[in-house]
Amino acid sequence: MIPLRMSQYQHEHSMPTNARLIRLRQAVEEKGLSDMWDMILSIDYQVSHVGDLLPEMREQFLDVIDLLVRAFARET
Amino acid sequence: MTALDIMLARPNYMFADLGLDAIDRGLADPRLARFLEDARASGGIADNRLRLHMPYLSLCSDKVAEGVPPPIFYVGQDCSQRQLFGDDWTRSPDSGLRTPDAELEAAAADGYRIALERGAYYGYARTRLHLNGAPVEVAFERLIVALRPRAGAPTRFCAYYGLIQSIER
Repeated sequence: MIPLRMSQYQHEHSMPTNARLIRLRQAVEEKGLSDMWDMILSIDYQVSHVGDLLPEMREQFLDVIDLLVRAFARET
Repeated sequence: MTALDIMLARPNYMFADLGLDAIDRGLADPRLARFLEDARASGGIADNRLRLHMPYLSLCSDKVAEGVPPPIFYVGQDCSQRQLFGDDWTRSPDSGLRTPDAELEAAAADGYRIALERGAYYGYARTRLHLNGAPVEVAFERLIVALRPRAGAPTRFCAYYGLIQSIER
């Protein structure tokens, strides 16, 4: 039996959300949109960190960020 | 030319640039006037004054081109575009980026370009749309303001505040 190291363990329900969060945060930083991320968090959600959001609110916020990344990706 | 010819020749939309002077002279809806006042007071920065208006706004990028308005990334709960096109539109995979009427999109693009050039745009519009399969004529005021997420930020975005004056079926 292969021993399970605690550092490798992630709860199954935390995986998709964290993966999405990490992917979108990377995209935001690559496109120089960190100011937009902070602005939406503070004005619309009234928190300073995404970790302060309840899971449902965090998904809503990430939906907006998903669109944000696409909206600023388009070259005209 | 018959009345029918005139009706058929009539364009499907009319957009009029009324200028910010119209707001300053008290001709705009007070909700739009308040939004412009707050945007001016903030120096074009999205600060806490924006929070009051967020439910009524849609936000989009600064990527505007000839006949193509910038893609939308945020649609407020009580925003006029949500009133017109419904909640399903905001939830479908790609439609958050564009309103579903291509002709209206093209006609509306100039307002965003002007807002990005001058800082803000105020106008009146009347357009025919198909909503739930039925033709309707919609008249609305719209104020578009170009903002920055913080002072000195290189990124700009457009905040759109539309107010529907009438929907005639």
